[in-house]
Amino acid sequence: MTTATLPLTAARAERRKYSAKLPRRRIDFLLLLPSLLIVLLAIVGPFLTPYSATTISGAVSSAPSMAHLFGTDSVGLDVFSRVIGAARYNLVIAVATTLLCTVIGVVFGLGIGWFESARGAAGLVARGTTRLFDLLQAVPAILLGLVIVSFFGASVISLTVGMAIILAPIQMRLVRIEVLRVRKEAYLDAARMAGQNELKLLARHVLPNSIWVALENMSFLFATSILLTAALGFVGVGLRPPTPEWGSMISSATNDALTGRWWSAAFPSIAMMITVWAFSNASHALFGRIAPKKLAAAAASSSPVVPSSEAAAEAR
Amino acid sequence: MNAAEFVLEDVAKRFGSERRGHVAVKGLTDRFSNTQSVGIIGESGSGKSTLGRMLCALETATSGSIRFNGEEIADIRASKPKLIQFRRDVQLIGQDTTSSFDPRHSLRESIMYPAMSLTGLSRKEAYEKTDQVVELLGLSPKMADRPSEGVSGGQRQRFAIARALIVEPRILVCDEVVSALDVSVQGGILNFLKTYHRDREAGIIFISHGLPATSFISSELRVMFQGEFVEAGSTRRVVTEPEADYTKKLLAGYRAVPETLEAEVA
Repeated sequence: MTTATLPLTAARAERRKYSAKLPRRRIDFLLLLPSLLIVLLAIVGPFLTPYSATTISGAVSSAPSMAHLFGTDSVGLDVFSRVIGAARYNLVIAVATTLLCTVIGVVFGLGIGWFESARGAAGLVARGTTRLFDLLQAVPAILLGLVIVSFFGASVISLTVGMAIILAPIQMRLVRIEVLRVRKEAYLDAARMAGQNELKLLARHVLPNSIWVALENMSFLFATSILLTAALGFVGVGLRPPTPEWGSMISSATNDALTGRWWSAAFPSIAMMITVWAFSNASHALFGRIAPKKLAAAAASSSPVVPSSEAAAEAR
Repeated sequence: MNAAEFVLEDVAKRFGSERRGHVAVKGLTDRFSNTQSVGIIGESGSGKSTLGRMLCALETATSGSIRFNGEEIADIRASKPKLIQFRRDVQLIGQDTTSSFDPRHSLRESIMYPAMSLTGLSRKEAYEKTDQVVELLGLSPKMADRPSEGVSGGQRQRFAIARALIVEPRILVCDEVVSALDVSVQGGILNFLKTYHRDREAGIIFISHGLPATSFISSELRVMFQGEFVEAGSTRRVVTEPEADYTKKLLAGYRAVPETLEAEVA
């Protein structure tokens, strides 16, 4: 067995030794921490809350007290339990929506940006698709969501897919513009001169250099999808009550807030705010653009990740 | 060293449609071989960069024929092994010093890539050869571990030359390689290219709008105007006894520095 695996590991060791990759940026776990805590809370929270999130647990509209930390809403549901219980629905919808619309946006943005000025069929298709996305954006998001949800019913999946379709044009446009910039860069010609075909060019140079806008924009889309879920809940096509969800909690609590019973709207709002903040930090930690200058400094100052020529000479 | 030769016959390039398009290059007939150093000089928009890109098979001619070692560029482009051999033989050094390297890769990674993909070197061999080529250009191999933003414009251009030379091409197409650089940096690079041409018998096609640099490096000149060669001949002859009106006008612009020109041509 060892004789079979040995050359493999030797090859890998050599690959590592003569790799010329730039040092990878370290992920800042401190920035990730808040979002991890929220995810943890969403998973275990419902088991720890004092009341059920969906059954009446006390008097109607009672102010925050020891019995009901965040008070109760106009139906008598415990706001604290609902805020915690809503986390998993909101997180799943928002994360899935963000990822899905980013995937759609990146694929289309890359294709359209690369082919839109091409002659022939590819260019025609690319330009036609752009117009289709224009059409998609011309329809009000709420209306589009309404149509999608009324066709497929209000579920986590239909909401996610619907919102991803609504938000995808934003990502598409961002990526497309970056692709248009990158395709003029001289290093693409250099890569062609190095024998790369167009597909490899896209994967090795165009995609990595144009995707970062969409990745950085993910925190904004995360927040947007939470707000959009709320807006859809407001017009009655969100998740069906009494399923806990921050958006519908806020919208159904607006009357309470107007009459001075602030708690039923305030706490889900605060939860939403903290979540958006936590996930934008997380997205920054994971996808924030690597500043090449910093990398340059790191490569120059720290012990080199790649062996220096002296080390290579020694190895010989 | 194997010979390499371009033969151009009535080459034309048009961008866009027949009716509304723009003709960048027309009716070029010429020969470039690995023993020559040819300067192609002309103002911006004269079609010289388009010619360079066509010679590198990055652009196809609309009509006419470009043959490399007897083979049509179009046929070379259609066949993967032929294209790889062609890329080994012909390399391009571009004018853009800011975006000539992918900012996400180290310089070394970008230089190693052609060595591995075109000449089939192993990672280790490519790594070591990168050190050699980089040193040949007077740079420290350590610097190659930086991203392209980590070095100056002149150094970056040297790395770009290293990337082209690592496959030991027979013909180098240099498109405005020194135009964006300081005069002090220009000299070093020009000297290097001239020595390289002489010692390795690698052909140089030097595309530029600057006469002093071009006449310094090339023994032959082609003067390009609106997509055509208006004058062709040895550098000495073209500079001292220009025939075409455009060449005379071009030279008049340099009359302020006749001594330096004379010195360089001699």
